[in-house]
Parts: sequence; structure tokens; C-alpha cells
Amino acid sequence: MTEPERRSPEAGSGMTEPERRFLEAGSGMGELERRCRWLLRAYPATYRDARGEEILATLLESTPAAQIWPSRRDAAALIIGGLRVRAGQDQWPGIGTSMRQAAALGAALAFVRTAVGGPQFLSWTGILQIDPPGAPLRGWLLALAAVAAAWWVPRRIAVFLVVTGATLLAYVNASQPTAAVLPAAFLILFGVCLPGRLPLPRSWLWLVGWVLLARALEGTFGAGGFVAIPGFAAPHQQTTIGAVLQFAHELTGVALALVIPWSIVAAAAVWAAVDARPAVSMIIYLASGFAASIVDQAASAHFQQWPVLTWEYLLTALPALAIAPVVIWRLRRQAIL
Amino acid sequence: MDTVAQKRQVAVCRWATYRLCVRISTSEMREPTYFVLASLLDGPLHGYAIIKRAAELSGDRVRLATGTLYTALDRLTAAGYVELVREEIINGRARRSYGLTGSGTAALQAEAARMAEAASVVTGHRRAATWKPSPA
Repeated sequence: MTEPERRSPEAGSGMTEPERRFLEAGSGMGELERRCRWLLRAYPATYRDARGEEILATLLESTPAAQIWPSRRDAAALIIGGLRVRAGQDQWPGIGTSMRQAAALGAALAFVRTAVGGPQFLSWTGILQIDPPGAPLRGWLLALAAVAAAWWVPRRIAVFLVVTGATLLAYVNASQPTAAVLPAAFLILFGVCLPGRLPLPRSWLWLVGWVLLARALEGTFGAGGFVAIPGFAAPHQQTTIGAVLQFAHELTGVALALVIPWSIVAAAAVWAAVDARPAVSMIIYLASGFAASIVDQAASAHFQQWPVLTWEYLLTALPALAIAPVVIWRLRRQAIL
Repeated sequence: MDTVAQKRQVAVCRWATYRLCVRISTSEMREPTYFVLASLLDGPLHGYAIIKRAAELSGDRVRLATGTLYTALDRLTAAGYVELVREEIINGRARRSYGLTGSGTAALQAEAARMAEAASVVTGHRRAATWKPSPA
């Protein structure tokens, strides 16, 4: 055992040290207890009401007498455990469901990116930006329709809605049709073609992880990332109060420029430990854009430009596109029975 | 073969097909889970006692953090392997004891049998009589 049982010198009645701490802790709040209670705030209030006192008692028992801080392992386990409960990952729905939820989100957001256009969607302001008017709204509506289709409506209608959405997006944003079609393929694959309906997440807080990750990636690789630190200048020759203040101001600017992005990266990393879904959906989101650009480049070698989508195209292509996944699904069912 | 067994076989075939015909055992239990369940074999225990017992049984390999233990207990309770047996208030503090359920015991025994079978492949291995190390 790493933690030997210590007899309490004053007890002398066969009571072990952890037991003595358990009993003593009930009589008043010590430093350790106060800190443990603070860590327990990682859990939602309802969970704390049900389990908090019990976890606290175990924590106090398992911490050696001289310590006034819980161990790093205990602290990390409490924070990550609490965040997992908040993200709805404590009762793990299984890798299949988790990955499907993540894939549906990644594909839906790729739809939005197609409508909004370009990588600025990754930026903090880009998510909220409405420029040109109507385009982001259209993207969000299509994304919502696609996710709703994948989750709630019967499979064939979902296939139809998703393919219609993708085709319309291709029509709206004709410069990159594959950027709309590929996310549609992901949605069909993960949201529709797998057996059973996709269960809704128990908590939507995990979307915070996606925003954190997007911000971390933007801060690392995007334009104006870590390299774009505000100008840093040493104090001038004459050390006047003004120059010192200027230096302090610049130093604070540099510190903030480093601390804030790295804090976001750290928060994104912690969230990845809590819940892998944002990371998976981000991979799908980025992969669909990357694959779309490769397909576009390959296609541009053969075509002068992508064929303009006309009603004739729509009328002939839509039924075929809508029926194909259903046929594939039926064939697959035949194969596995 | 009865109907239940047939259905089971079909289900297993479909399950295997979904995983591209690769057999992946989902019954495999992770070591901390195994030792949490094993620590309850002698009777119900409270949180700290489970941590201590699991460390003892595993030769100190499984050292559960408190948060990890309660995550595991939540999961095992939801799975029906563990149940709340006793709740006491001692000096104003809640102390809950957990015990194994029937299905928890069965799952633990199944895992022990699986590991014993896997171990027997190595421990029961006899070198072939004809095999001799090649001269250096």
C-alpha cells in the first residue's frame, strides 16, 4: 500500500487515521475540506446534492493527515469527472453513438461553412458574422435541417432531405459544389445509413468543446495566430515614468497575447480528455473541406468550370441521388442477414 | 437448436458483420472495473474501503482516485452490477456502502474465467519434444 494506515496517537482505541479524519471532518470545515468542496463545483448542482457529501467524505478519508490540498490525481479526477457529468459523458453511450453524434455535428457545420464561405467560419467572429445577409442563415437552417433529419425523421426522408440540402447548397455556392456534397455524404453515412436512429445527446454542453477547439486551432494556425504578438519594445534610454508605463503596457499586451491563446488551447485539451466528440467532429469538419478542395483541384484539370446547376440537372439528379443510398442500404441489409 | 439460440446466432453474425467480420470481444472488462467488482466479493464496502481493497487485491497497480471511483460506481450501478446496500449518517456525513448484484457477480466470474483461459494458453504450454534450441 502506498498509504500506510496510521494510528491516531490520541485515539488509541483501534481507530485508524482515515476514520479519525472522517469523523473529525464532520465537526467543522477545515482547509482541506474547503478546497475539496471548491473542486466539487466541477459537478452539476444536482449531482452534488446526490453524491457530493459522499465523495467529499471519501476524499477526506483518503488524503493523508498532514495534507491541506487534495493530491493532483484526485483534483484532476474530480475536475474531469465533473465535466464529464456536465457533458453527459458519465453514462457513456458507447463509441458508435458518440462518434455518430460527433460526425453529424462535423458534417452539419461543414454545411454552414459552405454557405458562409471560406475559412473565416473558424474565427471567433466568423461564427457570429452575418455577411452577406442571408447566407449564414441559409447555412444554419440547412445544417439544422440536416441534423434534424439525421436524428428524428425516418431514414428515407432523411436521405432525401440531406441530398436536397447538399444539392441546393451546391447550387447556391457553385464555386465549390463538392464542399456541400461531401458533408452530405458524411451525414448519410453516420446519421442515416447506420442501423438505428441516432440518440440525442443528454447534454449539449459538449458543443462548448467544439468552440474551444475551433478557437484554439484558429489561434494556433489561423491568420494572426501565435506569431502575431503585439509589437514589443524595450524602454527608451531615458527611464521616465511615461516610458516605464509604456513598457508595462506593452509587457501586459505580450503576456495577454500569449496567455489567452494558450489558455484556450489548454482548455481545448482538457475538454478533449473529457469528451472526444468535439475533436472527432472537428476532424470531419476539416477533412470534408480538405477533401473538397482536392476534388475541386482534380476536377478543374478536366473542366473549365463546374457545370452550372440547372432545373434539368436537379430534376434528373435528385431522384437518383436520393434513391442510391436507399438501394445501397437495402443491399447491405441483404448481405448481412 | 432452439429459437432463442438461433436468434442469438443471427444477432452475433450481424454484429460480426458490422465489425467487418473481425471478432472483437466486448465482454472484456477493464482492470480498474474488474478490481472494483472484485473488492466487493467479500461483502459491501464504502467508497474509501473499495479504494483500499482494490489496491490490495491488485498489488497496488489499481490506485483509484476518488473521482474515478465514483464515475465507475455510477456506471456499474447503471449497468446493474453494483447496488447501494446501506446508507449511514456518521457525524453528519453520508457513508454509503455498495455491494455486488447477481449480474455483477456473474460478469466478474465470466471475466475471471476468460482471463484464466487466456492465462492457460501460456501456463499450460509444453514445448514440443522435438524442439531443440539451435546451437550457437
